Amino acid sequence: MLNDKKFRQILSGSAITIAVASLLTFLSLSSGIKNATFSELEKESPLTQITVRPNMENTGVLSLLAQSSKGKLSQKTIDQISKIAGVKNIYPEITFNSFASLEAKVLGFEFVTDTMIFGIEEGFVKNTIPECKDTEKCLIWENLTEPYPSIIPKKLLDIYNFAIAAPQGLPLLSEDQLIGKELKLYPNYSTFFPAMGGKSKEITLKVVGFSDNVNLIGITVPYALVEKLNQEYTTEPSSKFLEIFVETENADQTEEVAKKIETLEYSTSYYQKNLKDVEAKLTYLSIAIGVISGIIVLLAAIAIISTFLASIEEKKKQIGLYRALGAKKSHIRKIFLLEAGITGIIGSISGSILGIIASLVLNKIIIGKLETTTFHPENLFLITPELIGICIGFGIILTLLSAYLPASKAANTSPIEALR
Amino acid sequence: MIRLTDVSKKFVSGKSANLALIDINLEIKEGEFIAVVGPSGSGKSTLLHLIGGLDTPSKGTITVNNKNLNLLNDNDLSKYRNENVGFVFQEFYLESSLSALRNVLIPSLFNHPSENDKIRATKLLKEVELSEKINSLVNELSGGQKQRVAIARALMNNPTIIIADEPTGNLDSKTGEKILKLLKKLHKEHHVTLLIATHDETIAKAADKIIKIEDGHLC
Repeated sequence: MLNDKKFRQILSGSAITIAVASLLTFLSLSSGIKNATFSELEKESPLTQITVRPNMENTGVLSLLAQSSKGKLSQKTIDQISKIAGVKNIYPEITFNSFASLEAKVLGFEFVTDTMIFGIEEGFVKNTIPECKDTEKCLIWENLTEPYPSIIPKKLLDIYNFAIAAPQGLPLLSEDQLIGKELKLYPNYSTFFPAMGGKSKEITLKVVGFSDNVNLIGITVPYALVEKLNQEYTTEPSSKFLEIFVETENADQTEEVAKKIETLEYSTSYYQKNLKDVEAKLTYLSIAIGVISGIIVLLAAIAIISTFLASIEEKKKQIGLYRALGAKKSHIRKIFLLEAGITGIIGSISGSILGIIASLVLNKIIIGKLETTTFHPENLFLITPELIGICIGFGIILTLLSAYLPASKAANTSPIEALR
Repeated sequence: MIRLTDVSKKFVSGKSANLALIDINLEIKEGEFIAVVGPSGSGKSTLLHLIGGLDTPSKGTITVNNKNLNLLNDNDLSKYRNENVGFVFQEFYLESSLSALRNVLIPSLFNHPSENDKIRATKLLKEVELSEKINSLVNELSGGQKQRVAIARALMNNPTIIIADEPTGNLDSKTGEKILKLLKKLHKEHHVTLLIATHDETIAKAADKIIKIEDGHLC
């Protein structure tokens, strides 16, 4: 059987262990979510990339109805942007100005859907094509012969897998399974609205890569192919761009370049800007986590204070004896704070170990659950040596602060009262 | 020299007050063996606590070796107890989880611990005939042996006064006799002033001087 003294030591040690473990788990979750969100954001918008769009505030509905070119993206925009210092490359994105249908046969299933077709130059997609990663020029993107290369947005594959395939029991698809697959494209034809289309000719596309960076709502093919399709099927030229992707010399210049583009009355979107929005939203999460951690820490502090106060009652005779033998008030305070410090060190180290184990287990469980969603980061809990150090330090300081009041009470005990 | 001049001690509890000592005037010479006798609640322990600096008088002055205890603050009183007074209690008050040696060493922890402390503590344990029990845990010792450890501890910082409050109260008569002999021996060898509060006639007879106290007054 445990005696009261040991039981109280275990109780205060457990309080600090639970507080530190909770704190470490919550903080690692908070920083893990931030990290995962920022990584996702960075995938979609690399640090050196600015997406330029027409400024709708300036164009307005009337301007749009009047087919005004005001605020729209054109060669003039590219000329303006290219003059800005720090701009390395400019990639305009064009779209096929009519309906299109896509047909794919995968794992014995036939998929037919309407799609949008986006055209972009080789430089923008080069790194997302496995065949082109180590080459100077991406010849398969530039060589305009059938089957034409195409890039699928990664998110589209995720949406298929988790929103369509999984609920309907269809086989899940991986990037490797799809790379090299041929797709049939029917420009100027709508599967959903067949009556609205015109003449169409089947062309063959080949999946050459997946990207987080290309337009989400369709497939991306070489710029020249979209230009060719627009000439063949529509009356609208490809001189107006849907978006323009600007690559800066380095990440430090991105914000400055973007601000200069905004002065030209275009709208911009880039990682650093998105980051600020996300950070602002994540602040609420951090506050919520902080409040929960605060409550746990407060409860731990109350537990420590009450166990130390009980411990004083138990050690009253010992305090009286020490005072009789010449211990000053400061000696008694030091004895109690030393005991608290040792409890704090042991409790905090145990708490950190427990917190790490809890984070790893929860990480595994939650990541497993997230596999069936479009958000699947590698880790949702971020444990760093600094975080462990902070939690251990915090645990020790919390124990010492919580024990200070009982220690002072012990120090002020009259020796004769204590011995009585 | 211990001198008490018009010393009174009043204990206040809520609205009621109890005068434990009333106008005590007393002089104890250095090296004397004094037995303080009287019935329970007469004020024996209170008198010794005041001389030992464990408590302060409500009125009057206490001077020990020309030092006015009334003028000492809490830290100075702690220092006075540590350097000048050795306490022996009826209940022994030993740290049961520590060895005899470590118990004897406790007073030195509050007064510039040095390497010689261990040598002195060992020597004192030999003097109280516990050389074989130096490293034994005190809860493994008999009552008499525990009181010997407490006496060695009282002598650790080389005090000028030993205050023993009913030192044989928890011991059988035979063991009590041995403890008394030991205290007398050490009183002579260490040239300390020995103040014993007791009900025991044998102890009282062994003292150089008997102070009788009743209802807070010296008789």
